[in-house]
Amino acid sequence: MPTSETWPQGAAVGIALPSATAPLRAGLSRAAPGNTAVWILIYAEMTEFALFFAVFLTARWFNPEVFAAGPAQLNTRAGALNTLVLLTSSFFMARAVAAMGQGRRRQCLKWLGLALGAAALYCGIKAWEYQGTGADGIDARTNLFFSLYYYLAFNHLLHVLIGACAVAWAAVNTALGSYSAEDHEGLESVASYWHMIDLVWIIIFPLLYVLR
Amino acid sequence: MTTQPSAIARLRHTWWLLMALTLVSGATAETLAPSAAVVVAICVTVAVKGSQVIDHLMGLRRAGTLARGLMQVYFLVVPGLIGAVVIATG
Repeated sequence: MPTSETWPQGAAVGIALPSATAPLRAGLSRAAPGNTAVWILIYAEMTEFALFFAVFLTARWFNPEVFAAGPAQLNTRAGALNTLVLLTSSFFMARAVAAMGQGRRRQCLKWLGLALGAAALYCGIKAWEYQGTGADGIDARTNLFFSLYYYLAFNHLLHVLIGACAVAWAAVNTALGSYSAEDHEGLESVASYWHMIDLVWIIIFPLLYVLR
Repeated sequence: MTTQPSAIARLRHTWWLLMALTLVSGATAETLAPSAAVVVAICVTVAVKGSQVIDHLMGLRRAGTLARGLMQVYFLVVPGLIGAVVIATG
């Protein structure tokens, strides 16, 4: 089977892209894991989060006292634990792709299962954190910091849930033998999306929990 | 992505580095009083962690310059802006 490197540009997403965009497509897809469509989605998602960060920083600029006091009222341990869990899940996904590259389907399934377990652990820690802040009488209407905290953190949680569904889908396809050592672009696309979720959290953790 | 034993070892080293950076930056923020130096250290750590994930876990180290460059620039600009605003409003 041809891979993304041997197919004509644009074939991976089933559309004929105009030749004027050839340099852009070459830059996006040359040896990048996954297909062009998932990379457009990744850049769109990262732009969306960049706008959220810009809103957060603008709000902080005009309300420095509220934003300096906010992180001390959050469960920093929960945030740090979730950082470790997400980074580890990214490692599991990279190992899953590497295993499939060697044609080791069972190994790949094992790593995908571990990544799903890490995603479930992330959600559990998040529930524990929200329960704690709720018990402390903190909600999205407490002040502007907590409005943005809940918006950013919950938005990221939704992305984790969507990503976990994609990982589960990749696991099913792996179990069904849809991927091979030569052709596993779908698995690479899911892994790239999952790494994007991890990358966004690397910024969210210090922004919400650490920097005062 | 290559699947040589050295590639697996590199993934392990990257994971250990990411764990260490997260724990050290978390401990630094918890134990030291907020200052411009601490903010800069945390933002540099964010940029390094992002770069490690992009290059080694995502596997963009050998990708096209645009694909990798956009991600790397993101992890220079965003932590830089965050650090500048936090220091200015601190």
